[in-house]
Amino acid sequence: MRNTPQGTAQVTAPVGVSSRWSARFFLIWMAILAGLELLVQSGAERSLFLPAPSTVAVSLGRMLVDGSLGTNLVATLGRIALGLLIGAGLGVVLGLAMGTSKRLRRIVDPLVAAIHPIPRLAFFPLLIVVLGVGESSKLAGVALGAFFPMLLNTVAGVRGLNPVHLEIARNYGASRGQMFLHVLLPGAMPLMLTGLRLSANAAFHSTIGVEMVGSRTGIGAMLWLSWQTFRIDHLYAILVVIAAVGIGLATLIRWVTQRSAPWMADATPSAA
Amino acid sequence: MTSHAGATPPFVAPSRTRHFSCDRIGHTFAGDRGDVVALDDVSLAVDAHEFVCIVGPSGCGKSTLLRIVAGLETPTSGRVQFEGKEPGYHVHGGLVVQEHGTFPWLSAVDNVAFGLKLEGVPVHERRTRAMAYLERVGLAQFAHHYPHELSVGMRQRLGIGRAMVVDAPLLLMDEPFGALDAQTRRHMQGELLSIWAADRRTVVFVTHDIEEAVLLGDRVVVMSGRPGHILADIRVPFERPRDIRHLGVEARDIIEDVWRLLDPPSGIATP
Repeated sequence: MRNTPQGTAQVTAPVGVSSRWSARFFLIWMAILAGLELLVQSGAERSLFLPAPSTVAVSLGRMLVDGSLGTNLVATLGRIALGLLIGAGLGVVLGLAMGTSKRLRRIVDPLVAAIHPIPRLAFFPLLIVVLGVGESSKLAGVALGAFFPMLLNTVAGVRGLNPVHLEIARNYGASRGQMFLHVLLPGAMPLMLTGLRLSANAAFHSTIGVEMVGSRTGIGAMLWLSWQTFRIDHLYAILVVIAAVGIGLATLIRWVTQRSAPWMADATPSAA
Repeated sequence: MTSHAGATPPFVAPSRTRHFSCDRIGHTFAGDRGDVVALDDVSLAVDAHEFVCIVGPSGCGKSTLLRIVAGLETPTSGRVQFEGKEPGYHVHGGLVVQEHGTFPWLSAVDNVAFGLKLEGVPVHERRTRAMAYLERVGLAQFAHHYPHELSVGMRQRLGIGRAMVVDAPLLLMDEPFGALDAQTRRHMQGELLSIWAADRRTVVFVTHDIEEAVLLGDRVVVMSGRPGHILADIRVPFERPRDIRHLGVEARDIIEDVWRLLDPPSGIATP
């Protein structure tokens, strides 16, 4: 939105460096894949768990053409998006409330401390019991994964506000609403965006996990099915898809971060 | 006596009117190890258009006094009375703190416009007004930079611009130059005086730097700590507009006086 000459100058330099590096990495990986292909095609490597890269590519192409990849990818992306929206949304709301209310923090903190160390997937059986085997238990599982990082980072963001900023705003006669909108929210934004990044990761992981355990649709289900039918080439193909989804998600979050907090433009190029 | 540099027409001070007065203010902080008396029986009257510096060692309660005047702290006893206002009237705007008081998420122009935004001034008008003050503090070409792209001194000027753009008749400055190096500091002192000369708002300027207080103020209020109280209220006789570079020799006597007040000769030095 606002372009600062310094900001753009600082961004271009590392991009040039990293693109040169990625070209080099690309060549290295091509060489590795070619080596693998030769190894398998020549018959020197006969183990079951290493298909030729070309076989994997063909399987991937077939999934794409017959539409199975598309449908399942849409199901997975939908779960990530909706689960993230619900989980992170609730995390922000409760986080803002806890950040501003000491009493609420006193009540909820022990609960969070008790639940937080439990791996999210461990709750999935319980969620199925409560919500049934349908879509809602899956969404709840994903949302649960996305909830905690957002909650914890939002609380930390509000708690870490610079008290001087609050006083200045108070001195300028800010109402409670203005204080929230113009100081609290932007002040907590950097940590909230960190929370969003972690929540998106968690939603992604939970979605794949939930789909493996209890779903007929989605990439996680496809992955699990390929193990059960012992289609090793499918397994690899789907892992490639999962990696692509992960990279796409990280890129999206980075874009959102730069749009919502342009003032920390040079502080964010860490990998999501 | 003073060399008059500067093209701004001399400001004609209107007849003296009281701006506000602190009436027997006492303030106690409740601490874990018992109460701490920060201020004890502090009375201070400030006239409109006066530049009053409050000087004293750290912990003498000078910042607390300023915060009380700003309405950020309610005194345990006594009261602040603004001329013509209800008791308990809240100062609107005009607070300047050290450079970290700028909002990192706002560009320079939006930082200056902050108070206007809260007042509900339409975006176009507040940008225009903020630009005018940005110009005054010499940051016009950095309007769209974020604070982290500016130097400490520039951020400090931003804070001053932000306080001046709202029509607050009173500027409350809490060690605004405390984080600056000596050179930048001296430069900013000169700039503050020239910005201030345009409309001579009432200023209360808290500092621990005695020289700074004498160079800037019409009055220097000397405070001492534990509990915080006023030791002396010294009138600085230099004419306005001042050129602080040429005050050195004349100011030295007053600075020495303040030193003696804050650091009375011990029994060994004088019989």
